[in-house]
Amino acid sequence: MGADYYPIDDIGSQWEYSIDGGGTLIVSVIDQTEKGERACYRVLSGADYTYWIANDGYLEFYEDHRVMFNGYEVPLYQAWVTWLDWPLTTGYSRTDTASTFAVSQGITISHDWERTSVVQDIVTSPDGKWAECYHLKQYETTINWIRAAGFEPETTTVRRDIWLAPDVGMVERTTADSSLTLVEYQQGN
Amino acid sequence: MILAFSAAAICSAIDIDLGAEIGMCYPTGQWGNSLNTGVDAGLSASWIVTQSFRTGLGLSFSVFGSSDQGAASLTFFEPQLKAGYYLRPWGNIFNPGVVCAIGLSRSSLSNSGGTDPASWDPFWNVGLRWNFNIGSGFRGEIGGDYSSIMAEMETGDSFSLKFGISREVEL
Repeated sequence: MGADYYPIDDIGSQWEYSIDGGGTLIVSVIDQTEKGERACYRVLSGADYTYWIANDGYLEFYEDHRVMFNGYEVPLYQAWVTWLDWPLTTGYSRTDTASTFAVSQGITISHDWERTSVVQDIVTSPDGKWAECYHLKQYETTINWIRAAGFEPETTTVRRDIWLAPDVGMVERTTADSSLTLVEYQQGN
Repeated sequence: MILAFSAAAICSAIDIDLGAEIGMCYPTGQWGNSLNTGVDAGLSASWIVTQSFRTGLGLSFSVFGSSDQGAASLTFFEPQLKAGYYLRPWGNIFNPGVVCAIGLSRSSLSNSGGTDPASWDPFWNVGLRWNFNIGSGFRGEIGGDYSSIMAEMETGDSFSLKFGISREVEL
């Protein structure tokens, strides 16, 4: 339990992933900044920024949920949500939910979100390179509903399998339509 | 000579020091980032080989809770071999000593509905003691220990403050 399974608090750390089907994803810890009135680490993942807070007992992620409606980007839910509690254990489980709405151009858009994270076991990563990984399963369901005639609730369900290696972090992530495998990790300062 | 010494030890009465300790543990290093201060308790029985030197067996149990908002608990159960050397065993008020132990530590970690498989890992422990007489045949002891669990992936080091009581008995 002495290891850091998501070391995003070292500025300059970089993870290079190969994408199944071709391509590369670079994830880098850029700097410290402020988001939602909290000091956090800014992480560049491909072309997108994500925001994380590394507390002693838990890791927080800035959830930023938006939808496009009539050509406008509508913010639905922005909040710091615990991503994992430390230390991880086999059988660990946490569920987070949010239920909110936004009004855009006179139309109400409702947003229901639920994410469950479960640690299934301690295994070697699927590529065989990383030992003692926590195998994390995440189930995330999002229901967006434009409350106007002709629109139905739009449900998106994602299941992720994530392998977290000690003092390295995410070494593999698979979903139904994509797979990332860590090629190289450089620890920052 | 060894045989003679052993026979003499068996035939004569054996002085045993029975002890109990409680303490507060402070994890050091990264493994303790998500843990609060722990508490521990232990029992021991040591053969008083000479006035200054004693060796024996001990059992200790310690538990840590998670810091911040967490629900984790980490427990250690440690059977061990102990030894101690005291500089002024006749001292009523000041009898400094050095203690050490080696043994196996059974670690058990749980958090948020999950539990990791328990593991047995070797550990060592060294400490300093201030031993003193508290009357009625009992002696008190305070001191500090530094211990390290040599797990496969990481070491789990901690510093602990100890408070103990002991009594010599003759078997």
